Amino acid sequence: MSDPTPTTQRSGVSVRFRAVTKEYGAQRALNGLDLDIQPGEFVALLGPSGCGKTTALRSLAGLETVTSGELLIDGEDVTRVPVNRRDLGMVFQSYSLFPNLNVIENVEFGLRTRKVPAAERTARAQEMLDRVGLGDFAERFAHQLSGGQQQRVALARALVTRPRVLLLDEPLSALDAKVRTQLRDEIRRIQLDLGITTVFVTHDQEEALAVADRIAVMNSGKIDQIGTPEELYRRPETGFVANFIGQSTLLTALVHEGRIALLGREIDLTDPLPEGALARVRVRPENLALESFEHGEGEPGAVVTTSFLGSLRRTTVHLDSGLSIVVQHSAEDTPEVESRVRVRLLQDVVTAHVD
Amino acid sequence: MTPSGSARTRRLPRNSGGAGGLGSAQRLIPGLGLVPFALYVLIFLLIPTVLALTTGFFNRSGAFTWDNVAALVDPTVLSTFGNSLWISLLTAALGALIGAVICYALLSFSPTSRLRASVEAISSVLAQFGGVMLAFAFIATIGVQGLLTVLLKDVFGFALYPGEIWLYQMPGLILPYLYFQIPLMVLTFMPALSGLKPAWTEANATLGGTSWTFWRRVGIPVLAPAFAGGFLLLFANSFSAYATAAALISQGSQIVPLQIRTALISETVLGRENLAGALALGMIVIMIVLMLGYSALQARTARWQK
Repeated sequence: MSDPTPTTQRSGVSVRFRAVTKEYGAQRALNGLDLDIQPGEFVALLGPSGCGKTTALRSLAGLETVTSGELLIDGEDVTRVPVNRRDLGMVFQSYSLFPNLNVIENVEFGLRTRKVPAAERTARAQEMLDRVGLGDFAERFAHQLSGGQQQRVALARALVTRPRVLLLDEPLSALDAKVRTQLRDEIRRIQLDLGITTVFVTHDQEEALAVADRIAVMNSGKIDQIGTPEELYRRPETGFVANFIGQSTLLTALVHEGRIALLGREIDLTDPLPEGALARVRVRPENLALESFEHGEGEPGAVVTTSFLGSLRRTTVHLDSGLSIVVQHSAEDTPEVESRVRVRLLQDVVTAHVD
Repeated sequence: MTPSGSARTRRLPRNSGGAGGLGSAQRLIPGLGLVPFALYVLIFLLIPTVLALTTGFFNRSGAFTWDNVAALVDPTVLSTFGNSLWISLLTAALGALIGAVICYALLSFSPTSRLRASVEAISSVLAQFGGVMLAFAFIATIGVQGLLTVLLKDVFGFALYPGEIWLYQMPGLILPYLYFQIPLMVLTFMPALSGLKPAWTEANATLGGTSWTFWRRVGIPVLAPAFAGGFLLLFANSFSAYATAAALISQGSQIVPLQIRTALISETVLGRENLAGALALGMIVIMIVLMLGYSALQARTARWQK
């Protein structure tokens, strides 16, 4: 692992979206998007396809012209600044290396457009290639590299100019699982080394949870909720966020004396709800336990499927009440399909919403 | 590895070898389907080429002679080659440039758009629309009594032919040739141009490059082999074109294919027999030189091409 070097270190700058709207004909891709990103922060824009996350990133890059609103980088309004003068680094989903240039020429590209002298150019490109672990690949061409290597070169090319902000447009989506995790962690390491403000677009919640300082969950061209991975996971503010981040089952129960009955237990609420209201609660697999039908507690049901996930196991139980629920438990327990079991809630307090 | 595992690995080459043996026999049977085509090429392309080439070195009585080949430097023959070269280079260059511009314009439409599909369909028809039909189309439109010629004269008082009737002379070949050259370029160049990834232009822009930076450093180098290939195809197409010129050119044999006809039907051109073979040899030499140039370019780009 390389240490941060003063030559490339640069304190990050702030990024701000102010009521940004982008329309494609009658369709609204961004719907008054507001987002403040702190200097040096790594923010993931997360959401399903069509939620506007890529449009938001491309608007910040200048690859899309926004319909209204303002984009500020380091306090400067860049809304009308052309893409090649915004001083940003970008990595694309599709490997976008120039095929006719070798690895080092690709990395030097942005330095050439900035008229950096040849000797300094090569030195900086080589240093950045070393940083992404491809120091020995300078003479190769794109078609001689694997997908993961190509994205590393693309990352080096985007960073070598010491841009104000790093934009990552689903850079890991085309890679296979193992390379994806590796490169994901490496991107985070380099980002922390350089202290560069980074915006990362992804549809993969696991990716976002793993690397981001904060995650902005987008839905219909706006941010539904923004917060740290822990906040989003533990206290989702909307059903959309709860549904999108992690796996969960929606349960409903009537509020009685400030409590609700869930899976055969009386549970407290974090926030009070009116008496008689129908509370909706999202329960995650890890907050449930599988118990023996004869001796255990909880609501009875029958095992539908069970899948082995290494250190743990996830089992879907069809409760007698008619609901199917996913339970996470130790891989040591191997419930048989169709066997009778009980599902118990491990939490004493839950966050409920009334829709 | 377990003993059974290593046994399995050892067996593999023999199995695949057996499958390979079977495969070559299996491949041979469908390969037989190529025989009629191979025979056709042999009888009507290879043998005539060899005959054409060798006859150039023999006189009528079958004795070896340099006379025919020496006639290639005859001023008349040289000027014919000169004519063929300039008309082919000019129409190939214009065809390639205009065709490439059309492709670039089409690029802004989606591949499934009606306009792009129509232009591509029309191009594939027009690229093959040469010969007497094309000559007639031009004669009927801009010939001396052509529809457009008469219309321009009667309505606008504009004389298409104030002096010489250029349509029936060498310059008259340019327009009809372009008529099939441009569509041929559109057909051959469009796939290459469509292969330019939008992410390349976007990467260029985010790296601070202008549109010119992109074309100079990426677009043109990436497209150069396809453009040169298209140009070469257009050159060969025009260099060997015969029927259009035969139907249009009224007097003399200004281009090599016409000269070959003259040499074939009149045995006394320049007092030499078998000149046609020598002329064909000259054409082949020119094509070989161009192909060598093309493969040199290919070799330069091969290092970054898959």
